[in-house]
Amino acid sequence: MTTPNRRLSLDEVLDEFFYSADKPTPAQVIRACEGHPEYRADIVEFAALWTAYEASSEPAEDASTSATHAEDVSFLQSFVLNRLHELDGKPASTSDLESTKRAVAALKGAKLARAAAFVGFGSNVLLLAKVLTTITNVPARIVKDLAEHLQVLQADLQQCLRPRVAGARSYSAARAPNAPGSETWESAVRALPVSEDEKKRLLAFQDGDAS
Amino acid sequence: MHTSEADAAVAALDDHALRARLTRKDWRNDPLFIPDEQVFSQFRLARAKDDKARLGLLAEALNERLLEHSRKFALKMRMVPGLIDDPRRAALEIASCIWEHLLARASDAAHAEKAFGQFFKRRALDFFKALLAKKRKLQSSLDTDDDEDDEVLVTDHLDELKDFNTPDLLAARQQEFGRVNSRLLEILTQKEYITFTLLNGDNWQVQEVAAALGVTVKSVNNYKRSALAKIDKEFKQ
Repeated sequence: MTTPNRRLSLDEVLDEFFYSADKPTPAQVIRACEGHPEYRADIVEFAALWTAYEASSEPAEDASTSATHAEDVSFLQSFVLNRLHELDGKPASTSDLESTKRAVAALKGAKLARAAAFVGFGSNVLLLAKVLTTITNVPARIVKDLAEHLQVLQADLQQCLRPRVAGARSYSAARAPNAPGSETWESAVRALPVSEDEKKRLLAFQDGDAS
Repeated sequence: MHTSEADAAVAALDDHALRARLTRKDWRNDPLFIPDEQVFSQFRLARAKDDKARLGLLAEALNERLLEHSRKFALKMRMVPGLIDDPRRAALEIASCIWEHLLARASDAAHAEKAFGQFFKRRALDFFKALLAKKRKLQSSLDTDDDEDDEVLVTDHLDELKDFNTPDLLAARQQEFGRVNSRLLEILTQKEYITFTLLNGDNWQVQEVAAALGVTVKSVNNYKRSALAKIDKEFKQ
């Protein structure tokens, strides 16, 4: 393990850890933890997931699901070309992505409630929590208003809301698995314990997206 | 690893010939198969030259390959249907994440040019870890009393479990790991999962897990005992 002159980021530590061996050994993991105790939990969890990967058998191929779909390739192609345009097309100004990530991470408790009210969710704080974690098609109007509230760029906020996935079931062992983790705007709104009129109002946030 | 000669040969192909070469799939036996490293290297070259036609062609080939790698990763890690409902969606999410690193991080791009598969595994594992963290964050924002880790830690009266390793026991452990792996993330806490995976997936010693986690051997034995009880309950039909 090198002695850093500056504090290494978690990413750098995991890179060093991962690229130094074919699979995690106890000695290697313990050495990494001792060298970077501030990242111990992340290092050990990463090692466990890596171990699980190496120990898992190759998936049985199912002909019905094994083909790559042309529309998925096309979707990904659009994603790549758009990102290239964003990265290569804009001037080399500093990105505010990190500060946007921090602003999103700080949305908890009262801040979350204020943001929910600002974007027009009223007291439906859970809906905003889902916007930040599980909803796959957040209406553009909400991204715009939330960016305004956080005083960040919409493009940076979009990056923070991507990838639009989250775990589907409870990590807690104390209770039964809960609701699916990735959901559409419509299904998230319909699941809210609010009146039908309120659901109709919230569903209308999508109205501008189709055009 | 591909060579600069091979790179030059691929670079010399016209778009039509390159497209034909990129359709070849038999990476084990076909000498004309273009490895992922080389496809990505050519992609970077096209990006640097702002050759949009070539860029699109190579991006499309990489997309097909990335979606396939991602789908296999998701299935192997049992992300589907436990964490993400649809394998196509899982593949798209992983592939998008991988692209983000390829496009925006020079160190990742450089590594991908040398060892694409290794780079892919590193970032796909990161994606999986982030997915779990996101799930835990969502869960904790909805829970107010989710502290089962503490409940495990305070069970101080349990005897330490013996940890004898014989070849038969090691084989049986790995077989058991393979059998229950698909449900582990759903039924175990984070520390129980880490403990069970390291002990059973790769035959670590309890002491080694304790040193890695920075906890006592007794705590690890508690995680192990608790994990086994939950697994036994889950799979006892």
